[in-house]
Amino acid sequence: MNDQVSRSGDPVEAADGAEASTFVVGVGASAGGLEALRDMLGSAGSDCALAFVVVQHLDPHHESLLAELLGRHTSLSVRQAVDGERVERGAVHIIPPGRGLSIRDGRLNLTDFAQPRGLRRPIDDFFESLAIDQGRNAACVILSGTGADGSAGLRAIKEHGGLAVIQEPETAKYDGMPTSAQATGLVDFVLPPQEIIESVRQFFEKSAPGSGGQALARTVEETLDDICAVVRTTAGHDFSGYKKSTLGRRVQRRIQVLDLPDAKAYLRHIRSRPDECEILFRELLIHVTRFFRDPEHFRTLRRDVVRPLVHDANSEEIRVWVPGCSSGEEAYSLAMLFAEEVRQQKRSIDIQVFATDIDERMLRVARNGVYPHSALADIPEGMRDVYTVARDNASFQVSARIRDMIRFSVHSLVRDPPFSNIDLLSCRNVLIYFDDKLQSTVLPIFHYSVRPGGMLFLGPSESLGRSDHLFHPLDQQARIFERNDSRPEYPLQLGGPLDDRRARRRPPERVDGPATRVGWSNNEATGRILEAYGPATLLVTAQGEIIGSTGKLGRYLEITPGEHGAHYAAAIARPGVREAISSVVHKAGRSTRRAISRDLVATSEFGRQVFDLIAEPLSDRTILLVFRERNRFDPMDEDDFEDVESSDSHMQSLEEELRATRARLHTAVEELETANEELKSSNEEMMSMNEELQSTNEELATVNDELKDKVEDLSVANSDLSNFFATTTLPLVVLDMEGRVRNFTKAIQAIYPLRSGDRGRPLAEMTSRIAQDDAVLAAIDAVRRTGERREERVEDPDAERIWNLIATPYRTRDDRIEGVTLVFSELTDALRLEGELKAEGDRLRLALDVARMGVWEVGADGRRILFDRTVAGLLELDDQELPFEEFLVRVPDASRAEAETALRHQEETTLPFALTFDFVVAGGSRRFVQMVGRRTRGPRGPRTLGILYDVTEAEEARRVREIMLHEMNHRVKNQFSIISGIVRIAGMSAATVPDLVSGVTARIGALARSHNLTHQLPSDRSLTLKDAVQSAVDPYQGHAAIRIEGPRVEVASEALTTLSLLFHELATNTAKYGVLGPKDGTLSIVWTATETDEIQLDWLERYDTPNVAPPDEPSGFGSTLMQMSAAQIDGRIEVERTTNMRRTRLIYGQDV
Amino acid sequence: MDKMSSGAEPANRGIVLLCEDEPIVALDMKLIIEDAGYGVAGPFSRVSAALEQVGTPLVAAILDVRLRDGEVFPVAEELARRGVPLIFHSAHIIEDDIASRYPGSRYCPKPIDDKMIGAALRECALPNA
Repeated sequence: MNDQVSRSGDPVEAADGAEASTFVVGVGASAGGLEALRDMLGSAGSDCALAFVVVQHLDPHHESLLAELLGRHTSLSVRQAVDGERVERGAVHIIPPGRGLSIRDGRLNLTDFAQPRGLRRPIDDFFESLAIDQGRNAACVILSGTGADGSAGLRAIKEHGGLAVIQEPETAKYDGMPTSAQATGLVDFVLPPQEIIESVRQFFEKSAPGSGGQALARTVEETLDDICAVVRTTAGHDFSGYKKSTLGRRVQRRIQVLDLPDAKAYLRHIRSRPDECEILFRELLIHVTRFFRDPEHFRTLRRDVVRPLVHDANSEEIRVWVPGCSSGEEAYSLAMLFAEEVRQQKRSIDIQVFATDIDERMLRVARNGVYPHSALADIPEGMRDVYTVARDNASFQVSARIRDMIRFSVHSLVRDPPFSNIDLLSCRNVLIYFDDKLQSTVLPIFHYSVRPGGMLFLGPSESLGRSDHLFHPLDQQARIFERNDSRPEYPLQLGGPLDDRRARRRPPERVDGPATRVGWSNNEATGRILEAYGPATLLVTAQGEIIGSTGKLGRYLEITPGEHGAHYAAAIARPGVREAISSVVHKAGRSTRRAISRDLVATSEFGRQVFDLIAEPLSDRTILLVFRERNRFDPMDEDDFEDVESSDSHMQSLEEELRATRARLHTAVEELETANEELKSSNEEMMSMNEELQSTNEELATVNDELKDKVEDLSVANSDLSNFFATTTLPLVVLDMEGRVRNFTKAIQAIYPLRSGDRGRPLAEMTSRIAQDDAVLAAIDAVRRTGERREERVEDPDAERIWNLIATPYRTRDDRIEGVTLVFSELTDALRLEGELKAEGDRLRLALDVARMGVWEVGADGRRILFDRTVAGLLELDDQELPFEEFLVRVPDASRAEAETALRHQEETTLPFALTFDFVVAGGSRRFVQMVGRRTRGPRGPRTLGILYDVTEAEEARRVREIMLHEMNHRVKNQFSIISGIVRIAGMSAATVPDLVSGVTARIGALARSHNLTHQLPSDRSLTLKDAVQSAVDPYQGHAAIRIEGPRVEVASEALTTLSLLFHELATNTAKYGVLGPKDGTLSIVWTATETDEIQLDWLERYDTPNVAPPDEPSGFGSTLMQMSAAQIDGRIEVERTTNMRRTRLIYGQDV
Repeated sequence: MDKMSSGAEPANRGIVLLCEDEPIVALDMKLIIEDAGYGVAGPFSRVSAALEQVGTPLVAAILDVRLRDGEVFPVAEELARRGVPLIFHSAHIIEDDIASRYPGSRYCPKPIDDKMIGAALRECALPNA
């Protein structure tokens, strides 16, 4: 009776495969639902492992705030459902406005509504898909709301083994939906909202894998037969032929709902409680059905079966049987089909539809033919208006024409004799609940029942099984079969011991006072005694209502009341008995003593009976009336008529009673009149109040309209705000005066891990990523107290991120402080950049300072040139800026044009340039500077900037170097001249080449020595004459005693070469001819300074042995050279010779 | 001033003024000049000493530029004024500088090349040189 059933063939198997232990709770709510949802979800602990899907009737044109509103009251995570989203434990998924919701494989799907707005059943739709998808792991909860949405879905949930819970109708603002759901008789729990979640949780805890569910299943299996037996005895229906798995699961569910430990306990329970038996009976009979279920099959049925039947009918009646009709939708569907077909073919045929079921309660529903408005959608459009009548907003009724076609009756397929000569038997989705044995019992019954050539219409997943010889398929797809012509076998196993038990099934609501009744009928012997030998007896209530009877009462009462009649003893008593009953009952009702009325005569049409009437009040306030016969029964004679009159005493008691009654009536009338007056004045008041209310109402309507506009504005503003909060990268939290989080932007999660559920929690409880939590709290406190903004620098524990916290008071429009707003602006990058820039700047400054470089800049207008301190110092300027013209004037002419072009950025180039010029500084002296710069493009136009540094020293050094080079060049060339002179002179005097070479070498050696002298000398000491002499004789040390003596006489470097050469010639001669060579003797070199500032140096050789003859004078060149050398230093040479000595005297001016 | 043609008595070809402050170079130059058949006035190592001799008859002057007491130019001025052909002999001053100051002067760079000196002297001694 449900699509899932048709696919799987077993209504509960589908869910078994789902191993997900997530339990999904579908919650349906409508008007007044918010409050109920809040109470319900608010009771959930944060560890709640259930997943909730809330389906609320929502206005499709308004954004829903439901998620937000609920989120504040529960620790569960509440969000609006998104297409394809997986349901999660601990989450509440809320239907979005304007969409339907279904679930498949644990994922939510948003659907578009197929029906117009009034006919939508989003709760039913979702529950049905939930039942199919989650099976035993599903639960449905129906909360406050009008209408009946949810009831059909609840049926589906139950059919698939799920749990059904409704809000206690008394606690619901609108009890329509819960009451309608309760009317199905399938609800497991009826609870106030705040207890719902706990019950559902406990229920699922037990059925969760590993919680003993399987053990329970085993015990259920073991005791199933016993349970079936109890149901059979009490409810009169035998379920033992039903599928064990289905039965077992439903019994197990009851055990879980009742929170019983095992099936044995349940067996005890069900034995002691007949009402539990009723509940189980109903549970076992859960059928989900709807109008025209499997519409395409119905179309086939109409085309292939109904149409030909109507067409071929020869004014006989067409008989249709619908066994297992449940709430009647299918029977009505068939009736409508036939009616429609008859109407279209314009025939007039009697259609008789027998709709039967074992559940009287369902049959009552079926007979009424009243269904929720939502079911209208299932009826084909053309038939809706013709065959249904709208009752009110929530429901419709099948029209009387159709209802008259159908006979609903209690009938058991397996127990009661079947209908016969049936043209069409429609038994859909009933066989699937039967096991094979029962099926193969039932199908022959169908065969018997259907006339030859008649049709059998089964559910989509049902088949003939082993009985396929009885019918052959007409349309396999639509499950339409035609009966074979074979002889019917009347199923003999029908009836049997079950028959007498049927009478014992009683609707439970009729049971009143079962304890008393048991005594009247529980023993055959006592029953027999009472019936045959005891006095006629009535048991009545204090009011005289008959509860029970025994014995032959026909003489005293007009009819014999059955067990169930609500008859008053006085009302049905025969003449003569009536009054007595009234009075004794009256008497006995007031005391605990027995009352007796004697010698009464009961007159019936057969005769008269004299009797005493005894009334005995019993402990349970009922009264036992015993008719004790005084005489034998006196048969009626024609002449006895006058004896009918009642006795005087009786009249008197009646009159007495009448008087008392009148007095009571009088009092009552007075009281009534007073009350009436009061009511009249109340009415007046009510009228005026009504007027007031009316005007108030009008005002309220106006206010309402205004508020609507306001709400519209607010929702726009709210949407803007929530967008801002969600998208801004600025971390922001708003706190109330108690420091609890009121709102925050998404970006705050960098600092506080706030989630939407944290609204309302104190910020102090949050773990932050800030090291200075205390400082933050102190700042919040300060702002709260002072109302002044505070700033605080905070960072994370690793000091990697730094924020500037600005805490400002949150002011309402009337300027009250209602909280604190915290805004964090991140400084990490800025501070790092600042630090880097500073370090960079310091490095640059250091480099510039060390290099003594200054910075200059020419602005965009080119009118001024700016310097830093270094440049100002270098150029000896007082100011750190100079008009450009003034600067140019001080640049030398040669460089001016170039400088102007480069500095005034007249050229479109950004290549660097360098200028070197000697700048005229303040004192008029010059300073060589180099300017290096480049043109840049800044935001305010081009500018030229660069550095400037002093190159005076470098320039000076360069000049000195050039001069030195020049001088060196000169000297080298001079040396060459000297050497070539030496060679040429030596060439003139030397006899042999070796002579030449030694002469030249010796002289060059002298030159070199004199050169060494000038260069080896420490710079702080000037050359002396002694140095020159010493240098000349050094090569000859050891040849003879040499005495060198004289005052310190400085020798100018110009004269040094000449002197060295001179002393060299002297030493050479001495070595060649004198004491340093062939002769023995001593050499003394002594000098003095004369008064005329001349130096007189004597080079004196003393021979040890006198010369025989004066030796040969050396070659003229030597002496010429000496003479000339002396002349060069403005001196002269005098030579004196004896045989004992040779003295060469050099005299020269010291100023040389 | 002996105006006889060259190739006769070498010593009689006339006197050449020599300014040179380096003794060996001075001696060398003196010998070269004398070898070429001229007499030598000098050598002078000071401008002041040379200036005393500029009035004597000279056929030419060989001048080192830097002397002990300064540059030789006062001597050169005086000689040029007197029409004495000048042969500059230096390691110091470039040819152009001297040529621009004393038109018709010659230049023999150090070190001494006796043939070059000889040739220069001969040119100077020529009439109308």
